[in-house]
Amino acid sequence: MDTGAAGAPDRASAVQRLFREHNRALVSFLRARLRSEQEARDVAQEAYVRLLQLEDPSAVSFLRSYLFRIAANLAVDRLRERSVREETRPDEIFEGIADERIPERIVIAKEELDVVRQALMKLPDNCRRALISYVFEGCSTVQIAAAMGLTDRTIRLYIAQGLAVCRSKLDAARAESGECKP
Amino acid sequence: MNIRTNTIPIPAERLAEATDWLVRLRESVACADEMSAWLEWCAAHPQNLDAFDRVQSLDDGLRSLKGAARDSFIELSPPLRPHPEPGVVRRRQTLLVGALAAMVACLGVVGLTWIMRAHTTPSEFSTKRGSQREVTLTDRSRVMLGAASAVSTRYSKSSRRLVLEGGEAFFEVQPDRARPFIVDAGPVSVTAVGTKFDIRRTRQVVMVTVTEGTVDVAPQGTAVPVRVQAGQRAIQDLDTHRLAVAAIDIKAALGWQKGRLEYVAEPLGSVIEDVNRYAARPIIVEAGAVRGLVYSGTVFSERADEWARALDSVFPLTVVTRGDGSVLLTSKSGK
Repeated sequence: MDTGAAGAPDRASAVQRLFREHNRALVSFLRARLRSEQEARDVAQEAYVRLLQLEDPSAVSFLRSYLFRIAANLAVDRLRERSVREETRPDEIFEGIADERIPERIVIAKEELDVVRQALMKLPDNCRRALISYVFEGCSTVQIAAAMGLTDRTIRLYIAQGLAVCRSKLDAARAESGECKP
Repeated sequence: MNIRTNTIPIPAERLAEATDWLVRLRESVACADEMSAWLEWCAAHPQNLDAFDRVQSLDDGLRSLKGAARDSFIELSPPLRPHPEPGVVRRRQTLLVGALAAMVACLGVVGLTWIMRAHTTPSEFSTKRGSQREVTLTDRSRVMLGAASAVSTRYSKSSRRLVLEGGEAFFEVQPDRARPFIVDAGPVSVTAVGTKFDIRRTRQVVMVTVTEGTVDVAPQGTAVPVRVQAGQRAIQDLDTHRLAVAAIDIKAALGWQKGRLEYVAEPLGSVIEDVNRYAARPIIVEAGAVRGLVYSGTVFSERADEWARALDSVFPLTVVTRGDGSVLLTSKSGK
């Protein structure tokens, strides 16, 4: 039970603890939505600030879910701003929200792309097909499921296993060459 | 966080779990339950977040490929089944053509079965702007019609078929396994057995919200329907032909029956179309003025007109109230 009198310092320490315990999970979550690590960090920071400015001290007990809700809303705002900025593209109305805007380019070296390509070729046909539709054609799992006549769950499984294999091979190749990068 | 220990191998199963979370977090709305589950997973093993970052980086890196590099990956996979033509699948266009062709075929079949069932008794119910209406059907199923909405029914011995012609309606279905309850809403058809669900139609989206039981949502042209559970909403985007299912606050979704229209991250155009049904005077949007704008918030249906007139304080829009009381929204920037 939080009382109003001790509200503010309590909250500051509670927010601090949230930051220590969950910041990485928050940033990773935001990055999945925004497809940009920089923006994910900005939004997370803003969410902490908003949390500190909360007027209702009783909200402290819900602080963690508040943090994620605030951050998720801020991320939606960001995506909206982004799509407004890019409004000049006439034929893409709502795309910015869903996908395809990749403000930061993560560059994978050419030899590493070969490693991933090799890994993809060794996957079972359906698994490879699902993964390629998901990553390169911007299809949702539901769309892929409908197109392939399989369940959504199966498609998720294919994507999960396929991408995991590709990442494993990439890590193994990097370990061999002694490299160390994300 | 900056110290990455990438040489430490992460087992493939963990990477697969991480990928599953990546897909989940991208496709869902961030509800409290899911966030708790996400944090639990993050804390469950010290490598989990590393695994997540690794698969996310790979996915982002692959997605940002362009030109020949991108093509070299797409070429690894034969095209998806609905478009049998040979060659490389390029983005969504081919998918759309396939879906459209299948849609036309579907319409033909539906039309034919209706003609053959001469003994059905069709009837139609509708509401005017700003009003609602409750209808009890012959099988004691109930339909709550939103403003400016219309539902027609065609009951036969083997099925209960309804069409949501426009607007929004909430359905409370009497169970009858022998006669499936099917609602067609534009390009989507919804099948239910003893269940409660809501359908809303705009020009941009069809939303199916389930409050009790389960329904199957089948966008036309797809082979397998998607099962939607109580507490979930399926959204079919009519432009991209995408169907997304996410958890939803049911109370908020059904607020319209009590005069509260609640929206979460919905395209403003679709929100205005919805609010418009409750406004005393029409809200008119200049072509393209609300493109790319997204709205979250609550609109009280009794104050729909005021809400529309205040949109210029939130969005880059100019609001003009015209002589007949209708509201005209134009883009502030003038493109």
